[in-house]
Amino acid sequence: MDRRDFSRLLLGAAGALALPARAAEAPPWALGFAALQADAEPLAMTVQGRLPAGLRGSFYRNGPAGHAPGGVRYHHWFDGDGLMQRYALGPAGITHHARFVRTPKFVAESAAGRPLRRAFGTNPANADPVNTADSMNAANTSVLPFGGELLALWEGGSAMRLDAQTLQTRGFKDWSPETTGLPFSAHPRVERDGSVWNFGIAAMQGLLVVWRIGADGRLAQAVTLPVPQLPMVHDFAVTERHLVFLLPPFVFERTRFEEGATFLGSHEWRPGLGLRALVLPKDRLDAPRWFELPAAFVFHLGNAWDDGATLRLDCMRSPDAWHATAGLEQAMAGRYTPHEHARLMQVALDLGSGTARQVLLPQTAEFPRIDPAVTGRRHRQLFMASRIDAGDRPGHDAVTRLDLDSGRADSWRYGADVVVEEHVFVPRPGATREGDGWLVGTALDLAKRQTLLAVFDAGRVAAGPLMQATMARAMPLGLHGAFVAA
Amino acid sequence: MKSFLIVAAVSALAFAVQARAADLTVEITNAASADGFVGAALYRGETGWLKDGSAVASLRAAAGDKVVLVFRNLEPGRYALSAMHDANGSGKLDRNLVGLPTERYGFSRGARGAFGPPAFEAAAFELTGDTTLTLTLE
Repeated sequence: MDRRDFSRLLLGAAGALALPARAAEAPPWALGFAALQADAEPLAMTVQGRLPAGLRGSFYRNGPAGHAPGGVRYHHWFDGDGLMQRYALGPAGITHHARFVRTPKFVAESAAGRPLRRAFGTNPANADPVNTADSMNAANTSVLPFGGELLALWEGGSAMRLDAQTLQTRGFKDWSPETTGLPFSAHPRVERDGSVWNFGIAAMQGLLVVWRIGADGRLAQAVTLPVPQLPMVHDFAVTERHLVFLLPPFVFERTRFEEGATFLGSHEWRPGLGLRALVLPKDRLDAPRWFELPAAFVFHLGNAWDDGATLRLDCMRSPDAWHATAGLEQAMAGRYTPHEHARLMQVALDLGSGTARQVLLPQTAEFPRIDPAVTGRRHRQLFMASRIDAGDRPGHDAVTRLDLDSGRADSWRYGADVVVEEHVFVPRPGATREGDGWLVGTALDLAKRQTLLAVFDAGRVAAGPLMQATMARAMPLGLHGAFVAA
Repeated sequence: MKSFLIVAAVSALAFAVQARAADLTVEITNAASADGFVGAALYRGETGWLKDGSAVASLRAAAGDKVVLVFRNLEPGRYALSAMHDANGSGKLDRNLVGLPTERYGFSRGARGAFGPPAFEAAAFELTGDTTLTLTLE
């Protein structure tokens, strides 16, 4: 063993990262899907460049990281137990720490030393029968800063409350007795007044749940709507007057689930349904409007807005559910097969005529984000993790600001050896203009085996990061993040 | 037909030993709090299983860490139990907007359904004499 290999081993031990089986043959990017075995203790990061004076606070990222409970590796990226990471940006520097969310699933499986519950895309051998979605809840998808604490969000069950400083788990958020255990999706939309809209897919009941949380933090409304052939829906958007959902033709079949298929495997691709768009007036949630687009799979929407009688939105479109199913299973197994990646698409829904149009843009990208000040209103800038020249591996290699009026892309390419995670827009204190602020995000440097945090001037992404902080450990790739100003 | 004969035989046996009535003691743990009541209902077959008014008997007591309910003078036979923690004393198992229980409940033999109650047989046990069962609410 040479010295370099030995130091890598040490780093691996420090990060407590367990590579998938046959690690010797795993490609370098498999590091992003390695299972973390323990919480990551606070570690000061090495800062290069200058942290902007106005940027103080905490950047949080949630994501699946417990990929192998009891050493039994999951098959799908979305199965793993949620790890909440915090990058504390203070005058003395940047400190990173991370803690697994103590869901009932995590607690029970940690005590048993083996997986006990069904996961999104894996049914462990001899799993316990599941009678509530929250018994499967991995709290692994996103984070909503809310009322001074954090909500770790999954897709099919309750939000989990965490302490925003220590990341300690406090228990499921219970909005009201009538809503206990209802699905609260990973993509709530926060209005400019602080009120929150969200939805949930109650797959077993064939119901779409719509939530509205008041600016006072209390539940203002929760209703259910029956949706025929209810599919997997990951995100939605709000305008000033409407809620809008894109429903891929990836339909849940309850009988398959009851017969033992995984939750993911209980979905069937039915392209004949097309990509349905559902529009609900905010003041008439019982008056749905339906539209149809060519069949496609969509995880994420950027933003939506009312342009007179036309509702406009942007989203990341895949031709089918291949990445959601096979692609992310291959990634967990260290394999990569080229398949058309998600691309940016603009959609116009004509509320007068009931027709829908779509325009596919050239950006191959995911994780769209906007300046929160324009949520539900016309936005002119979209931020995203993009794929410019990533080569034969999953994920992204660049970050992009797209000017939607000019179509001009302002990109920074980290490089093929860096897997780029979501970057979020953080407004400059006192900002009055859309896009006046910073882009804050993380990436996994495969060559150095380190996770890095970067800050860009959001208006000059191509100029490269203003600041980059590194640490001598690698975190598994995460999903969604949020910034909370100090 | 075979199963019918077996059922008939078991019934006949039950009749023959009717004089030997049995007491069933149920120890129920894991209520969410000491609020309200913990109750259990006893059923004798798949037909009336968990249906209103079909229980052989139902009992309740103030909620606590361990609640003990005693069903007395039961005919020997095949039974199953459901139990719940009625924390707000509403007299029913509260449910959320999509119909899933929001109060703790459980079944004999630790039976669990998959997104619904278990079948009678999964929770069923044979009562042949005085018996004590434990049941954990979830």
